[in-house]
Amino acid sequence: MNGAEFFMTHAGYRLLPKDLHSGDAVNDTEALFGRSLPLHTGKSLRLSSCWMVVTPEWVATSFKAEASAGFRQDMERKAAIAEALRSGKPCMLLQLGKRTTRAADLFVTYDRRAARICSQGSAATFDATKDKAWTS
Amino acid sequence: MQAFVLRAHLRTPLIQMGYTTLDALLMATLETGDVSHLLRCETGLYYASAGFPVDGIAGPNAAFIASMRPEHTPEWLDVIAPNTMKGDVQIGLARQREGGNVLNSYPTTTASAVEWYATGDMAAVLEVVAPIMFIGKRRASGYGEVVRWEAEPGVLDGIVGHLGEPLRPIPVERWTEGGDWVPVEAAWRPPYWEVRNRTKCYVPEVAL
Repeated sequence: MNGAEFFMTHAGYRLLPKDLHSGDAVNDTEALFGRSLPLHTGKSLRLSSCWMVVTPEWVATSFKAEASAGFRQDMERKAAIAEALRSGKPCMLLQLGKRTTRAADLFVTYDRRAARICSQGSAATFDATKDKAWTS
Repeated sequence: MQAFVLRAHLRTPLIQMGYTTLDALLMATLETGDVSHLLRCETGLYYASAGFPVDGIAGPNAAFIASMRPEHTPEWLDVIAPNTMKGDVQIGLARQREGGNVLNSYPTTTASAVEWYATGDMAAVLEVVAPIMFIGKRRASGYGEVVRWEAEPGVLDGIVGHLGEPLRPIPVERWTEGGDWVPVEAAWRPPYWEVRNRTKCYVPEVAL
């Protein structure tokens, strides 16, 4: 499973309107990040300028998505990353700026020894078992 | 088809981003997406390693300014304008939003050579790479200059190293050697830029 498939399966398809689902995760990722999404505040915004931790069980984010998405918004970023890595299951760590995110920017983290923080145009790799300050 | 080592002796530091597998190098040179006549290939997986610097030492980052000389191109105002909210568009050198200079920084490696391990037609591969004078990134700036190419019979097949380590990105389900290697998401078959070709792989440490 590549990053786009992982992201869309566990988070993206909850945000992308059903009539835009093409069945191809890469195309759907591009479509999702290229459109404005409704927020719980009543406004709308592209999926950007936020952090997001995606796991098969839960998604935590600072993005003010509508409640129907089921994202956790009660967690601090550092705690969410630590919990995701502690589980030992695949996860995705996103740190998004204002630029548009592409499917190629999304990488799954499979192992704490190579935790990948994905941003637009780059992915930084850290050994979370050694570097204690990398999430800050 | 035989196991062989291909070596590019270097004159200048190398800027290597990613794995630079031998099959990718050959494909780029021949401008084709299939080099199975040169290298052993099984269901999309080439027996061709990543490029490994020999006696490599990390050097300082090489920084380049990409200047598009915006002051010489006033008509760019029309191109930039739709991206601004207030219409306060202007041409400048300092800011990217004004069409100004962009600074790019690359990690360099000083090495005596780069080596690839592979299984294939050694003589034919050497013939293909012989005209290549530069490898890696920023070749036009003098990085990765090749003094000479050489090939010799080897013992590694291009997949598994002497310590049982992966020599190239390989999907975990196709890895039969065991060992406690770190899995990451990587492209394992060409084209390597294609997101759909990425999956959970064991990879060499060269680009971790």
